[in-house]
Formats: sequence, C-alpha cells, structure tokens
Amino acid sequence: MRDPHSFDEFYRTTAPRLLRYGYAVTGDRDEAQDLVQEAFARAWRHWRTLANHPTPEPWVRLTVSRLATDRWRRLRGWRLAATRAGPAPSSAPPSENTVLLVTALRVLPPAHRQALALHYLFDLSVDEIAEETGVASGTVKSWLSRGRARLATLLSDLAPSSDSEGQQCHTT
Amino acid sequence: MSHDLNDLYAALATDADAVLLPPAHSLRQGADRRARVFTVAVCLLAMVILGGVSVAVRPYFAKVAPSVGSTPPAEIPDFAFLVVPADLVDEDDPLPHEDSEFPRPTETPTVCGSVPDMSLKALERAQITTIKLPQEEVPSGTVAHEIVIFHNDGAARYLAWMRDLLRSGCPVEEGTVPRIVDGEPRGDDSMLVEIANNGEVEGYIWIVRLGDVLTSITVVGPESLSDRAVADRFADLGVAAVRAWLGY
Repeated sequence: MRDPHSFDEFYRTTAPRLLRYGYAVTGDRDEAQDLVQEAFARAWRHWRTLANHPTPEPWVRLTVSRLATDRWRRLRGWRLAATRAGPAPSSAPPSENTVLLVTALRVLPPAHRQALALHYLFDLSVDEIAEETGVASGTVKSWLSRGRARLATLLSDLAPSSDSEGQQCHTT
Repeated sequence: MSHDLNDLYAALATDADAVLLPPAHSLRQGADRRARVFTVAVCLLAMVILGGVSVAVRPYFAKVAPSVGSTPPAEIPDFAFLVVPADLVDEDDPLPHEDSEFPRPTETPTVCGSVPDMSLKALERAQITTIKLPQEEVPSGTVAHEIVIFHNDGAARYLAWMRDLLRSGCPVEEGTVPRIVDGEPRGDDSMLVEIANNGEVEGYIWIVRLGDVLTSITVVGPESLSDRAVADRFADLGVAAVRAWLGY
C-alpha cells in the first residue's frame, strides 16, 4: 500500500532542494517547476517500493536529470494537464546573479550542468557524483573542470562591462 | 558583481525557493488522475491497433455471418466479456464501460505507415473496466476486453499483419513502443504485447484468435497492476468468456 503520509513528508522536505536542482540543470524556473512535479508524480506512482529505498531523494534527482535532457517530449502530458489546471502562479523575477548564472549554464552540456549542480547545491564529492550519474570519477572531474572553465569565460563575457574589469571568476 | 560560483548558486537557490509547487495531496491526486487517463489511452490505443474504426465497420455486422460456432452470432452479448475478479474490482467504479463512451478516431488509423484492411471485419465490441488492488487508495488500472469477428479468414490475416507491424519496432504513439514478448500460447493463435512508455512497462495486451474471432485483453496500470501475472489472469478470463459464448 502506498502511504500518502510518508510521501507527503518526503515531498515537503525535499521538493525545495529538487526545485533548486531542476532550476540549475534546466536554467528555467518554469521548466524546473514542471520537471520536479513530474518527477514527484513518478515517485508517487512507485512509492510502494520507493518508500523503502534507503535514499529516495537521489532517485527523484536522477529522474529530474533524465527528464531535463528530453523535457519537452516527456512532459507533454503534464503540460497538457497543467494547462487545464490554469497557469502556474507567478513568482518574483530572479536576481541579477541568477540570471547571469542560468544564462551561462544554458550554454553548457547537460552533463556539465548536472555535475556542477550536484557539487554546488548538494555538496556531493566527485565519487558521489560519479555514483549518481553512473560514470567514472575521472569523467566527473573532467565535467567539473571543463564546466567551471567554460562558466568562467561565459560569466566574464556576460557581465556588464563596467563590472567586468578587474573581476575574476572564483570557481572553487 | 561577484562571480564566485558558490555565491551564484546560492542566489539561484534563493530564487528557486520562490517557485511555488502544488500541495502534496494535489500532486498525488494529479498523478493518479494522469495515470488513469494514460491507462485508458493505452487501452484505446490497443483497440485502434486491433479494432480500427468501429464506425466504418459496424454496418457490416448485420449482413455478414461469422463462421465460428454452429449458429453465427448477430451480436456480441455481455456475457462474452470477462468479469473482473472480486479482488480487483474497484468498488467506486465496478461496472464495465462500453468503448463508445470514449473518444474514438474518426479516420482510418495509419499505424507505423501501415493501414489495416478493414474490409474483413464483421462485428466488434469492447468494454473497459477500472481495476484496483484491494489496498490501493485510488482506481489506478484498467482492463479492456475487445472482441472482433472477422470473415473469410480475416482474423488470421489480421493477426499476421499486426505481428509483422509490431516486429518492425516502430512506436505507435510518441514514447510508447509495444513489443512482442513470449507468452504461453492461447486459443488457435496468440500474441502477447508488452507496452512500455519511456522505458517503463505500463501493461500488456494479449491478442488471441479463436477461429474467426480475435479477442484482445489489455491490462494497464502502475506497479503490480501491470504485472505479467495479472495480464495472464485476465487473458484466461477473457478467452474463457469468449469460448463459452461461442461454444468453441
């Protein structure tokens, strides 16, 4: 039997983190909203088994990652349902720093975005990211290194000219 | 403006926190509703594969006598359809629905570029029933039972056409790829089709030929409702009901 109470608690405690992650891997808040709802909907469908999983949050996170790589096709059904339910409530516009970051992130390959988000938002180690993404640690190191380098270039290019002089991108 | 990535991701996290999500109960209800809509959609998809366009076919049935049984049936009665076992009945929606309650295509379907030959079908009828496990909170599965009577060896030819079509591996709907899997033979000829949506098994379609009759039993649902054993169980019930009706 699927226990709605344990699911609701899981949803309440993890949804904010998953939204941050979805935003970081998609670069779009509305898409992140769709992705995360879809991922949790799938989690609820499988909750009977997932509830006994030692780490259900990475399962949902991985679902978000996979959906993000092909989000429009996979989210067609959800989007239709959302349309019928009316538009999502609007939220305040993002900060200048966020706009700068997501603009740069959108240029990066999905794997680089995923690795960077897992590192900077969840503080996962290289080995932990490797385990979650199913690749070798060396690959993760490469993703992080190339991702940071690319972001540094992009952020410098994107920053207002008056601010960019003398600025360094600290990518540690 | 700082370009420290820790700061930038922190800013992103703060902005993400402003995004609203539905309450947990709303999300669960929406997910269950979607699952149910999907299961009905897959059942209808199975009927499109097997049944084609009922509107175009039904005028035949009063004129063409199927060859199964000693007395050609003029209609497909209620008792020809499977009865959902008590342990899977959804008490909130226990009765079967005629497929006419659901939207059907108005044009001849082209499946993977192939158009089925409708001319050999004589009569068809289908029922869709909601099923659920006893401990489930919501109705979350569907069983569809369709019976199609052909003439002039049409059932065997239609089954062969479908078998070739499904072996071609093309999706019949975006994200949904049916494939033939092994199953214990039933009737004169049979085929078991697994329905997967984006890699997740959503259910099974049993298609069984009994003489000039094809019957399909489609079981779709989340978790254990889409188990193979559930599909086999309904297939046995459906085939038994059709055999009892036909005396075959």
